[in-house]
Amino acid sequence: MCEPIFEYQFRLILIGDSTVGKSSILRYFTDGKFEDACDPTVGVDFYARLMEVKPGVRVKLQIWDTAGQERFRSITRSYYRNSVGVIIVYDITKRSTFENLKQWYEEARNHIEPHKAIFLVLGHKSDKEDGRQVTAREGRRFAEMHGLKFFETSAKTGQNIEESFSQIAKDTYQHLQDGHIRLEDGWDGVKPGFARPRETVHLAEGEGESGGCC
Amino acid sequence: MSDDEAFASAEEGEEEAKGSKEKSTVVEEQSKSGQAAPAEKGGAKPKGKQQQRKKKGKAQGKATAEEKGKASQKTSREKSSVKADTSTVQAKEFQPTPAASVESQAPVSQSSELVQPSTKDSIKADSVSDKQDSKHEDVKDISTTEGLPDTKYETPRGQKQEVLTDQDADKSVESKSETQPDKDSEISAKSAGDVRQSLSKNTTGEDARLGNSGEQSIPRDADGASPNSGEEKLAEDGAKDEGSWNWGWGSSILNAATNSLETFSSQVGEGLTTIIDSVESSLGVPSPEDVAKADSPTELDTVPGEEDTVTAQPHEKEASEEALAAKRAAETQKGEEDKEAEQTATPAAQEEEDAAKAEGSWLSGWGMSSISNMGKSLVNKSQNLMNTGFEKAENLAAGGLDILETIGKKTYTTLTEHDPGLRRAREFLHLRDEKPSLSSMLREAQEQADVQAKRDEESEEALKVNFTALFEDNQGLAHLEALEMLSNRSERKVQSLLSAMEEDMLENIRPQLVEIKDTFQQAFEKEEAGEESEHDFSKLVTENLSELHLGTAPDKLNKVQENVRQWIADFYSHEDHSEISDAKEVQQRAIQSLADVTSKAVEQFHKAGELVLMQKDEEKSYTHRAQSLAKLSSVLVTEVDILASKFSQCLNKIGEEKKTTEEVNPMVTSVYLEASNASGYIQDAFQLLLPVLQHAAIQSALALSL
Repeated sequence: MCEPIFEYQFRLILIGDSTVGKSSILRYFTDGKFEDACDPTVGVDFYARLMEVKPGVRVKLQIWDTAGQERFRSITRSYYRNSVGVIIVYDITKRSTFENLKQWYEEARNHIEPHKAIFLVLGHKSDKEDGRQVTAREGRRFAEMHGLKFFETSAKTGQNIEESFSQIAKDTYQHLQDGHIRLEDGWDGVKPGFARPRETVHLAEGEGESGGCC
Repeated sequence: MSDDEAFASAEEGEEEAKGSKEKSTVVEEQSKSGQAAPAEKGGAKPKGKQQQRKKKGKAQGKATAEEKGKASQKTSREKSSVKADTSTVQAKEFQPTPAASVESQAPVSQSSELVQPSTKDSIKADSVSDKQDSKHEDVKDISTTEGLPDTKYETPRGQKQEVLTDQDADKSVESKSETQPDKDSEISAKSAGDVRQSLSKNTTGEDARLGNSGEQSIPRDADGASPNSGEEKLAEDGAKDEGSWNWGWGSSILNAATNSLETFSSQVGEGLTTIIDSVESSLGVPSPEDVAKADSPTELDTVPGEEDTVTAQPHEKEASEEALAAKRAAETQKGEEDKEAEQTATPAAQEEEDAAKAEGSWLSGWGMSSISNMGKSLVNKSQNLMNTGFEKAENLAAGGLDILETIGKKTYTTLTEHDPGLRRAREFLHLRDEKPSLSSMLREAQEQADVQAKRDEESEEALKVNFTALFEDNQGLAHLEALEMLSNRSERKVQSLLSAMEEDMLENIRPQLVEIKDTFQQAFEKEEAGEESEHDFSKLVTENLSELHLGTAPDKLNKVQENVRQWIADFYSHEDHSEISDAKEVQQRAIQSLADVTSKAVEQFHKAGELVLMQKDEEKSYTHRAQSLAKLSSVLVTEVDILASKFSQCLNKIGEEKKTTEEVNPMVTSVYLEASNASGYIQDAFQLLLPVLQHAAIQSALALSL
């Protein structure tokens, strides 16, 4: 697991009702795998991936996968503040998750207040067309009403997963370039990428074969 | 010697006055012709000269003539000044080249008598010979000037001068009338002679003649018809009346001054010409004379007579300067130094007269009626003088421009071609400006890419053995940060809760909080004395976690630990360790394993913290949970130590087998270093749980109290 160089680290937070598939999305995004069954998230989990926001510029997306369970709400709330991007996920086969969108959105906005966060709405499980309870149009209308970007995704087919994260990464980067977002001390939403580690200690010079570390 | 002559001429005051008439005409002509060269000298002097001229002219007679003269002078001045301002183009024509200066100075001399005697004196120098004068006689302008009709130049100044001159005229009238009541022509002739003297040495030379052959010659000249006859007539009338008041008193001074001025002017001219000559010769520029000749051959052809006169006149100047040298000079055209003078003077005069006659005839051919040949001849002469002066000026100006051009070229070539230093400097500058060639750029890019690749490789390898990077990769750092956030939030909560708590409640809860705190502080005091003996990691971990009653299983942690152990076991099971892996791989593996374990440990603490806060399970006291956590952390730290030891043994084995102990030793060191790093992270994570546990304890206490 060798760490390539990146310019910035964007901290994103995934919120939404329990069992909408947040962890599945991230798992697919980071590992390209999909598991039908997985344990509910405890507290918060972390995923990370590098993305190219423009040719030659890579950013590291550190994604906080929060527990959707109500009992973790008090904890997950404390993680909003240090996020630059918020991805709100609902399940298109579960109407209630869509109806909670507004609540999630406002909670996130309230806790992120001093900083302008970039939001993204994902209607997940788009592969389950049979059980659809929320049309794509409804989801899109909600997003447009609040000026947010919208995708319908599927961790099973991989539909729009990559695009979604690419979109939010590019938007964030653009905001950064435009000066809407700035690097700030005490705020970890955006952190400078670490340059090549200078503490390089040449402890040994081998033939440079790649060990099984990765 | 010239002085003597001058004096003589001065004595003929009235005549001079008449002569002034001529001057005026001359001036007029000048002004008409638009060649204000004399005035160009600019400043007060020219004015003075002109004024004097004017005065004279006025004195000579009629107000009109005077006016004309003055006016023309003024205008000429003005012109000249204007022209002087506009430099180059006009400068060609009017540049105060030697010739021009000579001329202008000549008139100045008169004025200078009145105005600036000192300058004259100073000016006075020994003028040698004016070769130029003789050389450059180009009569070009004569025709033009003569042909030009008189325009009236009335300027306020002119009036002023008129007034002055009128007074002078009145005075002079008497004397004139006494001496020369008779013929206007005579007067004019005389005056012309005077003019010569006063004007310039040229004229003085003639004056000398006049003085000698004087009046005789005048009549001869009178035959010729001068273009200015009309003016002359007018002037003549005035001239009769005018006495030479100023002449009378100032004649001697005037003469002296004139001489000095003449010498000066000639000197200056010479000096200039010599300078120019030398420059030209050095640069290979054609001499102004040649230029002038080249310019004026046609004119010379057409007006041979005038040429002669012209040639004669410059010599006269010289003659006047150097006494009668001029006459000779007229013959030789280089009459420089003669002190015999007087004898030769007559021939010169005769020559002049002849020339004048020729001129007269020529002029008459122009259709000018004859009034006084003398006057005309004199006028012509003076005109010629002026003209030659002008032309000289022109030619010199032109030549000067050529010279300048040539100088410029020479300078450029010299600078560019003959100055190695400059070339070097230029090459240097060019080199600096030059962009590197494509090949060199490519080479540089290649080198840079190589260096970059090497650096990348190095850093990549470094990252493989960089515990911090690996720790971050495994999300250990993220969990640590999250745990820190949780801890900070709990700490704030604890503070606010305690401050808001009632006294008795606070007393109840305080022992528990202190107990928890003590547990955390003592946790590693014990551990440090702890042995590194083998332990059942997964069992201990699971035990301690279950003690927390959090409902979480240390699956990840146990799995990672198992993997590491398995790898080490595999390593030992092989006979030839070096076949499986070399030292570097073992090192990477060791650090990777440490990072994994640490990450999972931190994650476990993080989760524990979150769960502790959320669970309202009161079956286990928070003190007990704290102790469990302390044990867990100590187990983790111990495990890290054991792993480090085992990996070090692996490395040492490889080192022994391969006889590369020196190579392996730093690796062992690094493994131990990163192990201590890992322990640090684990202990930090554990300590971060203190506020969380306190917070949870207070929460539960509050919940109970409610």
